[in-house]
Amino acid sequence: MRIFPILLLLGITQLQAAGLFGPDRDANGNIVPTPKGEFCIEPAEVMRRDHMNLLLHKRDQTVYDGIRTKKASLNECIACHVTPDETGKVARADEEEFFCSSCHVATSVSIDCFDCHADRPLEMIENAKIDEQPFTSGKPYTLLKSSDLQQ
Amino acid sequence: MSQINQYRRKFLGAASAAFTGLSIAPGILLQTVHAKANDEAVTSKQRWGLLIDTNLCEPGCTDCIDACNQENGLRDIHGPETDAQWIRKVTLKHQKTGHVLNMPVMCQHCAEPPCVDVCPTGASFKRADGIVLVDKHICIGCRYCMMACPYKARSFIHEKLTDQLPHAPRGKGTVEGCTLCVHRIDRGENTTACTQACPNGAMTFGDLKNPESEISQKLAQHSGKELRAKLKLDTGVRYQGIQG
Repeated sequence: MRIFPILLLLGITQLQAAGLFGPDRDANGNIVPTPKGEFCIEPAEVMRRDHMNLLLHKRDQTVYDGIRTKKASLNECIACHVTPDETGKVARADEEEFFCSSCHVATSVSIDCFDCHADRPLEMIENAKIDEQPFTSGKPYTLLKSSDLQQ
Repeated sequence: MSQINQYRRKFLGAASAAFTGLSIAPGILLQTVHAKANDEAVTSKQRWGLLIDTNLCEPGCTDCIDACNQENGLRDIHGPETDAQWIRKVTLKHQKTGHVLNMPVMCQHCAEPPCVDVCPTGASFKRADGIVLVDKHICIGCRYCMMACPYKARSFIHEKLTDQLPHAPRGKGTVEGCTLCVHRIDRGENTTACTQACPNGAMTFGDLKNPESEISQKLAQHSGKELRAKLKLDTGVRYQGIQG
């Protein structure tokens, strides 16, 4: 009868792997996030191998030519792949549950995209203003610069 | 698509092409304003610019700066010494007449930008439609451009930033400045955050190459001066009410 608790424990581990508790995990225990949409811009195999090339190509098109189509736009990736979990929490870029981090942590490839780019869609940023600093006001600068110039 | 539909489409296409140059009266051509489609690259057919009437600019008012900060997500970090400033409000007093002048000064979007000349990596660049930008992906933060700019228009980001806005990526170790609200222009909007925010309508945004645009009309009527015109940078931002 002593084997029963061990079996129970194993069962719970299996359930965890199946995603019933916490985030979904694959056979290796790595987190597999759930996207919002029905399908991605390319099949998963293509995205796994070439997402960086698609992003790089689109990046230069956007920066230099002002082409802001939705396909392969980082903001659109974020809009679809960054979703709240069952508790309503949205993972941030420095957390393992974050869509990009889930693979990048497993493969030990660090990315710095989110040092500059938003890791949440605009609505989420607008809804979560509590912990954020206020936008800079122009007022102190005016006083500083005016007095500097008038002296 | 059926064959009839294809024929219809061809016929209508040809017909609209034939009528594009239609004139209402001799010498007056109907001009269609062509807005850039999302997947079209920007061209040099446009040159975006600003016209600022300093006589309408109120002393002490910072609405344009506040709107710019909000639009692009600029936040207070360590105060004016090191924080990014895309627009500075400048007050000038004429020594002889005592006339006081207020004006917002931002990136002047030069046709011959010194920041682009000095950039060692090519990060500082001018888009085909005249907007001077920084490709922060290749900016190494050397700040040569900040030294070269005669208008003190560029800022360096010293601290790690969080909660940047999706349309305005900004980050530590790179240089940035006014983008002329490039994300709005690419969306087809014909205005900038500062222009919209000015309570006195002192700022006009538009296409300098289109003679029909409001900015070109105003320039044709009352002219506009460049700041530090002697440098011959052919700035995209022009001022009215300043003594050259």
